[in-house]
Amino acid sequence: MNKISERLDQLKTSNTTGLMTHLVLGYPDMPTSIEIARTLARGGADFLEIQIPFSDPVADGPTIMTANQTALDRGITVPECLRAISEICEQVDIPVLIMSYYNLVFSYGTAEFCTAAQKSGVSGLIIPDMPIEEEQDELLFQHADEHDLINITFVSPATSKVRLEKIATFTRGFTYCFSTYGITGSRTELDSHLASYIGEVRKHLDLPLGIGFGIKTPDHIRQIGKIADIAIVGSAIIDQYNTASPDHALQQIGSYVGSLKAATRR
Amino acid sequence: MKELFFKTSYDADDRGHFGAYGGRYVPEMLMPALEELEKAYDDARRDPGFARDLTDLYHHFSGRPTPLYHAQNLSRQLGGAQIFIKNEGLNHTGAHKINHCLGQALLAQRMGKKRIIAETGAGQHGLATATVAARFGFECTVFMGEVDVARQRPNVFWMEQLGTEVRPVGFGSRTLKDAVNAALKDWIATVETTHYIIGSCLGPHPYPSMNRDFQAIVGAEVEDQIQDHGFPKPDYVIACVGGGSNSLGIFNAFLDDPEVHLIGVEAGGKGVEKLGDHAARFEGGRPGVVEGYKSFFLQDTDGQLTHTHSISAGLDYAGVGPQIVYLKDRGRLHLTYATDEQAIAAFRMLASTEGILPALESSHAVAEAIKLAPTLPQKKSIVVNLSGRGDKDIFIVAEAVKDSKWLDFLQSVIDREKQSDTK
Ligand SMILES: Cc1ncc(COP(=O)(O)O)c(C=O)c1O
Repeated sequence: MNKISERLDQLKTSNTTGLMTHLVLGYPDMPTSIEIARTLARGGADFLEIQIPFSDPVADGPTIMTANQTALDRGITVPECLRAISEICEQVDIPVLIMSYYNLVFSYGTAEFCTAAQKSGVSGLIIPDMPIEEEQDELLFQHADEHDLINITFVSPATSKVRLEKIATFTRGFTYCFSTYGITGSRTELDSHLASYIGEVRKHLDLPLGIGFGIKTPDHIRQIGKIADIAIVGSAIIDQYNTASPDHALQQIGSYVGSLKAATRR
Repeated sequence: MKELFFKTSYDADDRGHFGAYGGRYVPEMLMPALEELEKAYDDARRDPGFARDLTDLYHHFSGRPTPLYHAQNLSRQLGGAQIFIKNEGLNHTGAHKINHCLGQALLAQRMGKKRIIAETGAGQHGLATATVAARFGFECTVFMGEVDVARQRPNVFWMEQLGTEVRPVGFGSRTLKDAVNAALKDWIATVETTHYIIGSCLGPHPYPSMNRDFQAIVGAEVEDQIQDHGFPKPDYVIACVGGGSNSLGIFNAFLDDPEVHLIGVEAGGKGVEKLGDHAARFEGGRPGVVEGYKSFFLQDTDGQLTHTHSISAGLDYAGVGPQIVYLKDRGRLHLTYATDEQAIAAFRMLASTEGILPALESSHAVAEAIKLAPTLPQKKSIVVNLSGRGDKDIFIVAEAVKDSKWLDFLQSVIDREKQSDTK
């Protein structure tokens, strides 16, 4: 059984909200980002979303974009990232998902990328610019499936009912719901329409839902716990790193994740 | 003349695929907006009222038809084929970009949008967008890489005068590709109220097809105008290729006539040997999926877009419209390039022989005509799409031709400002 599905089952039995934490590989540098991955896992994350940096990250806001750029300016490569991911997967117990943009996958070879990801110990893919409409040409879902990877689907507040039903047929594991219109970046308040939008999604998608974009505080996690299965935290973790003094950054990330984790018990 | 909207055997399929290229590779947030746009465009294209409104704007706002001018001096000097200049530079705002901006503005109005955003490289598309925004009463933001803001100040200034906010983009290579990125991000957050006027025949479906259709008037006019000059049809049509809007605009009417040779000219920059020195996607680029579409991109082995260089901001882009790749694959379009130096030389030659100052983008097409004409007999015809006029490039050309009096002038302007500040 895929590790993502296993974890989702465990979460259900323990009645807790899943916590998916994100990091950009190679930010601020490769060794530190690997340390961050371990810190997040130790702090109680249920899933690790590891981003392979891309030059044109179209769904990312300034925080994650700058992290991508910093990593690339250092000359980070995809093969290096795959090696680092393999190292991380050996050291942590929780499911790891690769997040990136489709050109890096396409460039590597979609089937070859899935082979490499599986070999590294990865359980899923999060590729926001590869919509289900292009599957018949790209076969990303198919190749992922053949390599026991879950290719995550997406839903936004603008997604129509017709699309929701189409998306449902492609969904394994969980669906990634964008909390609001917009790109990544931490926000102080969750969208006021979140509950009704997620309620609408539920009617058409009878599968676990993750909510991401703008999630930052324990209170956000509690609110998400009432309506969805997984809370996804990205930019806020990089913000933690950026605002901490370098000597204490890992410690600060650790205690931050701990505080989020504490809010996952329902 | 042809109907405003016409089909060819090189059109995209229902999902916006031109053979293996094109498509709609965008995050979920944009899918509904693109579906809405596609539907609105399909409706508009079938609505005679829409064609009438657009034609009216082409004529009375932009000044169409633009002339097809027989460049006899240049042709004589080169001693070969007859060169004709399709002078899109005589459009309102100085380039062909106004054609698709008018089309998209009409469409945005039809969809009830209140705000317009756009990306721009040279500033020509931004200027045309700012112009239609003022004309139609839209709020408008134009994204522009910091490098381009610095080298295209005149257009930035005019956009601001037209009431548009020009937002400099400081990420990545700080040129056109980063401006596209920034505009897409804005759109992701604002799709309900905002229409994104993409500035070329690229991006996710339906943009490549829609912008081509709004530009197709150029070739349709040429088809008629060349006959007034005694030629049943052009033997060669040459256009510069940034994203593909001016080239597909002039090519579209001739796609199904294999006797008309079509040539696209990319930016060879400082030479095409090294990635980063040029913007010639067919010299060192390969297939990729970036910014919402599958096409040819200049990228490294991992698939990261590489920096590009061209003296002309409008050609300085890592990607190219998917239909251009498709036409090349099907053997319908020949692609070549001109270097910065050749473009400047062509600029000077056209200026001195014909009294026409071409945009630096268009100078690339002129450079190819200068190469080709002497190899052909005098009874052959070459139509060059002069996509824009050169006014906007005054700073770059002055620098390239090392005009010391121009520097003195700039210095004197600064000195005068300083003096009046201290008074
Ligand atoms: C005058 C002019 N010509 C050509 C171009 C290149 O774009 P395209 O290939 O879409 O015509 C531009 C782009 O800014 C331009 O301003």
